Amino acid sequence: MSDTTTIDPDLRQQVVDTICELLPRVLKREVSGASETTTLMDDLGMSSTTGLELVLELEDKLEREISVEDMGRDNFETVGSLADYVAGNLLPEE
Amino acid sequence: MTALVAIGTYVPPDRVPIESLADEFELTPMQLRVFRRYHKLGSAAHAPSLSLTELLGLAVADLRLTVEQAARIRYVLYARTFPGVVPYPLNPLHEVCRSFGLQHASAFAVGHHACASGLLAVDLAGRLLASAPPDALALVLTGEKAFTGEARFVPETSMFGEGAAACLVAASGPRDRQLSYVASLRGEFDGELEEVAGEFQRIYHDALGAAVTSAVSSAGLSLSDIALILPHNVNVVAWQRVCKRIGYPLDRVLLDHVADYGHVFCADAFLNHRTAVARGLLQPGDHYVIAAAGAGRGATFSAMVFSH
Amino acid sequence: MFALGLRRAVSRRYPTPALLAADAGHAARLSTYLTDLLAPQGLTLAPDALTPVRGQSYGEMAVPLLPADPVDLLVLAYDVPDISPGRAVSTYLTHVCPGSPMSFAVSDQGRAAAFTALSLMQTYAATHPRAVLIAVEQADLPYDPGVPVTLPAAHAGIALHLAADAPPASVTVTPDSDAVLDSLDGLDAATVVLGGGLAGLADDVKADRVVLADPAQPMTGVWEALAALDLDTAGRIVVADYDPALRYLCVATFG
Repeated sequence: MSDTTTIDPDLRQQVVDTICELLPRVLKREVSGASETTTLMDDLGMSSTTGLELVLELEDKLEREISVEDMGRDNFETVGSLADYVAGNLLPEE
Repeated sequence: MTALVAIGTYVPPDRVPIESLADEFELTPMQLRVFRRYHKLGSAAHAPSLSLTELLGLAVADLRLTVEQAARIRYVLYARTFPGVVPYPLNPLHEVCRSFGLQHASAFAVGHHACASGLLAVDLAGRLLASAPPDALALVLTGEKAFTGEARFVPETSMFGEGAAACLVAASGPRDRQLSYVASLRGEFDGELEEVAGEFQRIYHDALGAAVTSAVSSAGLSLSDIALILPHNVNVVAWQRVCKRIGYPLDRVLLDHVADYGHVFCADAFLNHRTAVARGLLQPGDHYVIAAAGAGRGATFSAMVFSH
Repeated sequence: MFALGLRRAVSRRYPTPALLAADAGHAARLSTYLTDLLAPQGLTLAPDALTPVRGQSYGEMAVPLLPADPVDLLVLAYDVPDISPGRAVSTYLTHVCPGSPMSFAVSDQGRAAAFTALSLMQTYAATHPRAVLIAVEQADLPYDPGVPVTLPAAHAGIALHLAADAPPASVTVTPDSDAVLDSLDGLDAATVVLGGGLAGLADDVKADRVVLADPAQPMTGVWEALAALDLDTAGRIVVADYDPALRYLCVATFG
């Protein structure tokens, strides 16, 4: 469970926005009304591998590497929970 | 207590990279990146010029059975992921037995536990040997050909590799003794993989984790007593998630061969055991887990605890 | 010493086609599977091999053979593949069988698979006192394998319902055997059921009653004959058969 108190809220918001931007690309269809409470698997029908594609797209977009070692199903629950995870698990920039 | 006596293996030198599956399985460049980066699927062992009989035979040959050992083999069990792999009535199992002078043994296939059938075979071998003369042996054969699409790639999950293992089993022995066995049969996942995939993915890590913890507690142990897990080489993400569920360190799961062998059907445990021993990862007295899960119109999650 | 014994034996024939046979999606997948299965042997699937799908489904055949009461163990024995060669049938049966029993399948041993299944089941007797053995065979092979092959004449299935509190059964499967009569001597059986592989020995077997199983049903014939006996009056029963291709002599004794 990532410690949200140490996450930069601006970074987190940037990740939320980027996720919402990337959803149509990853799901290969129109996605409307996505927000941080949107549930990835239930609302959007995202599969485990598509979820990882999203993480990879995020890495490309944010130009940062994300450590997935501690990632579990619960991190993929909502756009917000994923943003929490990503923002808390960016590898230090080189 | 059932004991593993020796393991013979064969992994062919050729490899097929995951990119070579892109056309057949309509994999996008992004999907391939995900597989390489996260699942650690890279390439799979490939033996295009070897028949199934030859593949199995090479693993048996690797055992270097003495005439005396061969004479003591009463049972040969072939554990397969795919129930039907050659045209009927061809019988690679009995061909291999003939090649190695094992016609005196009772040979048969056991399965319908998908990739967990190898664990079933070890357990059944031990059960039969328990009421056989004490010096009797059984041979457990595993390994298959990636002869059809379903046997090459499981969508979103793994690449199958061609290879084989031959495990000599005794009713008792000084090491690699079986302490427990748990098989969780989930027949509700009978149906084409695409239909059941969502629900199956949802329960997979819980079910596999539960099989591991159940086998460990059946053996009167706790997870901290387990030095190593020898997994089925499905992919790294699956095991990351299982470890997270049960609180076991990922670096004690031997996942090195996911990227270079692929998922060698029911043989992964035995190939991984070979590597573990070669690398000195198992000391006498260490407890380890062999675990595997499979699906294919019916899902099974199994685990066994051994004492090295 | 725990051992399973025979409670009852049931048998069925299946005159109507499998429901799965009508599934076009399944037929298409089966076609791909079989084509790939045959290719390494240089064999091909005829264009009309699966139009219609003539074979049966072991999953469907087994369901009416399942016990009404819970069991702890279920083992499926078969030899000829069915129309779902990739399906983990016994795992599916665990899901639908009362008691959600531990299950597995035994194959690749001709008609001896049912006898081997019985001997495997005996090793579970102490912990799994209620068990069912299901042996099935279906009569259609949608390709010419290029070698001699014997198929059953009809789709057939049997179930042996076993329990630890019934008179114990015993089984031997002898590999590399010539069809040896001696093994049937001294068994002191009231009733002997001889499978097609041993029919030639009928006159030499000593028993109060010798029953010849349907020789056209290699996998289920002997068990079908067993199912037709009145277990209360048959006395000690020996079921014996010989697999001529794989050379296993199989003998099971009940009671």
